[in-house]
Amino acid sequence: MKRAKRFEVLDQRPVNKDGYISEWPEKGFVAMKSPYDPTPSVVVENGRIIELDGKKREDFDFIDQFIADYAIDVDQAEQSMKLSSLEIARRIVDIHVTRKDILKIASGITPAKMTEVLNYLNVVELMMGMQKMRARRVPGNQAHITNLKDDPVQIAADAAEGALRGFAEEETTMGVARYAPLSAMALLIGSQAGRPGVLTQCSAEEATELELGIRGLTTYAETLSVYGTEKVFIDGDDTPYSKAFLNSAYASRGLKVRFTSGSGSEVLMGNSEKKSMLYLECRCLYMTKGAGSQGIQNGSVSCIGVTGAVPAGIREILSENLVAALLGLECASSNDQSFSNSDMRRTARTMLQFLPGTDFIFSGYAAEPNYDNMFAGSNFDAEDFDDYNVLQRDMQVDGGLRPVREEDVIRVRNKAARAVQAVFKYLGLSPVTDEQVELVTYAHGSKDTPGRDVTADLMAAEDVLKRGITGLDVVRALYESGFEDLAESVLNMLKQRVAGDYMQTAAILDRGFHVMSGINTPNDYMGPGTGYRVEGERWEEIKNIPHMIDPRDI
Amino acid sequence: MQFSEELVRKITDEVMAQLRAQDLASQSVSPLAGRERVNEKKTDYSGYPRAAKGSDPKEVVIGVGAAFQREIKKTICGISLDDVLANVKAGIEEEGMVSRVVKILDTSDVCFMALEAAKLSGSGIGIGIQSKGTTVIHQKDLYPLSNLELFPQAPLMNLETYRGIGRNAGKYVKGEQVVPIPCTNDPMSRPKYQVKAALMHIAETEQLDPEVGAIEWEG
Amino acid sequence: MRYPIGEYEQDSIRSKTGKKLTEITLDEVMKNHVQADDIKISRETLNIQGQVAEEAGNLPMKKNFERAAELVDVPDEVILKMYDKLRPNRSTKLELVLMAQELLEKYHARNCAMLVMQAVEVYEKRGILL
Repeated sequence: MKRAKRFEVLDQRPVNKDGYISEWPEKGFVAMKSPYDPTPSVVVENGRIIELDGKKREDFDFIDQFIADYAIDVDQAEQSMKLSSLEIARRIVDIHVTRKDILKIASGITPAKMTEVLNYLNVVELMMGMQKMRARRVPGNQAHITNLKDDPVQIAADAAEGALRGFAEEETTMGVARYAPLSAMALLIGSQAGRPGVLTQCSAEEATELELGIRGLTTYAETLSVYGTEKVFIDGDDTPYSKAFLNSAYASRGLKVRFTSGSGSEVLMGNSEKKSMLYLECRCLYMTKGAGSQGIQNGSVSCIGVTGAVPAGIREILSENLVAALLGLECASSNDQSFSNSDMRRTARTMLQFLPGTDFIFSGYAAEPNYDNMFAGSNFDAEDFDDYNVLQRDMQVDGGLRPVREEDVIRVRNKAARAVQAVFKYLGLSPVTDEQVELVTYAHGSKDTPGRDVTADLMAAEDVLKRGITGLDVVRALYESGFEDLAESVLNMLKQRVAGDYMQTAAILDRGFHVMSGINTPNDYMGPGTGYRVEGERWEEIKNIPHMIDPRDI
Repeated sequence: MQFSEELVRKITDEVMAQLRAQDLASQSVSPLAGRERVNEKKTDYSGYPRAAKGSDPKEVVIGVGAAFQREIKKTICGISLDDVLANVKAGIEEEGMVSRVVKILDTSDVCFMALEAAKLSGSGIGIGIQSKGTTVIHQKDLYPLSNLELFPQAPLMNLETYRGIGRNAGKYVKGEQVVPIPCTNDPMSRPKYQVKAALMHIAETEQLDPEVGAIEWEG
Repeated sequence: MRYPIGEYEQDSIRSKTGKKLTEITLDEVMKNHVQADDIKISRETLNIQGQVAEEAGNLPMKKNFERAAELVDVPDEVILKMYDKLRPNRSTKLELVLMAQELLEKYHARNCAMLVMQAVEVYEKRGILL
């Protein structure tokens, strides 16, 4: 065929480099609704659920059973299930129905019913729902802090800059898993150098992550993964029961935790039981709720290449986020994984959480260039900071970030790098040279930094674990090295676990270490004129971007 | 009151059921809907020798995926699986160690595959390679989802990486301080490869035969 | 108790070892008067957070705080081992039942023991015991 020039141009557009696939329900490639999704039903006998979504108790798999016994409010079930799914959908967007009333209804419906409810909402209605149902009054944002070299000094500097830019939580992970203790330590120190009160996490294998948390090298955990089919859950080496136990274990040490899930994982792991992505994700969220978790990271997350490839996939992602909110969970709403070559497409996808606001709009904005993002790339990265700030300003929306001055960024990056250098020296870990501190301070990414002695670092990492170094040792090291303010901040972060306030739903800390959660600062949106509005000081901050025309220069 | 409510509910249920039936009919417009498998045929491995536990302390066992070199012949980025295997083996031999290849039919999860290989290995070090190319180096006493080295980004791997993986596995056997193979990262591989990865994984999972378990594959 | 208790009830909160929240200061840390165990949450405080969750209408979360309170005195390595035992295909029925018994008798962790017993029942049904 002789090619039309316009088609040749279109074929070369970034959006056509993305992967797409037709719906294939038999293999789970279907977003909102599969013909094999069950019909909603619940039967309660003697205070126990004996039928759930068309399945009898004796046929329950471990997911059904956990949901039936832990996640659904049996006293509420009958009343909630009586309401039609359409009616529930309408109430979600009705500004006269409170968030609390919706939470109550949602506590008594089944996963299949929830799926049905969400199918009645289009994306604008889903956003309206999210605006009302988000747990915390003020939206927040979370950063990924990683680099290709697993360089702890760069982790600290990027964490400091990220904290200064407004992220309330920061998460790291490693290319080489054994780096974890050093990464966690560097993140803890660096974050506090940028803005006191920022929470930090190190994504690792479950048992390792728990150990780092117990030692006080991290201040929250997020990688408690749950999956929507039994087979995939077993491949993930867990069950809802082991996860519930782990959740209690974290809480027993005073640590904030959220679970993680996301559509597409069952498809990617080869076992979706022919169900829609949304239905399987509902099962995940019910388990999360049943385990007593305060929150979830969801929205397809690392499997967005699959969910994003099917029709209505992006609508499904917002649906998942809203289900989390409907169940009263804190929602860290993904946007943390690259999924499209098209700037237009990736921006549009993020608007769905950015505009209504979620507890954490990103569950990992790459606060480094994407080539350094060890979660295999985020949807937005350090090179998008100014775009993001302008989007906040254009729409008068609080996306959780703020414009910063170059000199302030240099100052906090340098301080963080020096603090890590000092702590490593004090604790007798692998050395950090002055040259490295200098290069990292001014670096954009790991292409601008010298390499680390990986063998020495890995020995030091092992040493941290062997010697039983804790957060308290970090406090002492900081103090003895002349970083009294950072010592104070790290100690304040450790003290959070004694009071435990930050374990309640959607908690973050301000720079004075005051907890702001869904309990003391709940979302009170009830339509125009209510709820959180961008105004006052915060609006002034958002307005004040660099690169503005000064009339005096003309 | 109660009676009418029940009636309304019954009607609603009936309407919903009808709508669902309609959906079923309308879904068939998708060209893929209705297909149950990627590959219609399933290979029968019941006649193959079961994988044995090795005793040679120099041995590294490579556990390959169920569809490896049979239903799937190339990795996700088009490298021949014959070459992949040859390079991993060459790397192991360069370190003076011995390799043995088994095919894992219980699981298609790369971490569990690698752990199973490690448990069969005389040295306790094993390598798992999925047919799409994702690779893990494992040690028999680690948690399944933990590992010595993990190479999740199959699209970025080349034969030199596979050779390096073999070498590093050999070094772990010798108990040397190993410098992990530097990570590579391409933030745009997900949009391009993830659907393909899912399909390849499904194709691999279809070939599982847990009854048979693990078989000696070659060497 | 008024939430956040770290702000409003500062004087009455004690850590696992009985140290007052107000006694955990940088000064005290540098004098070596604060140990790692002093910065751990107490059973009582977890139960208070459980009440906070219940008042907010979140019963599963309250149950989680109850289980957490029971685990306060279980040593780290025991917790990690128990978690591992609860993973799929890791334990025999007897091992899990003994674990439930240990939780109940040694640590008075009634709710945790119940969770384990429910797991035993469903693990057996689903064939994920050794």
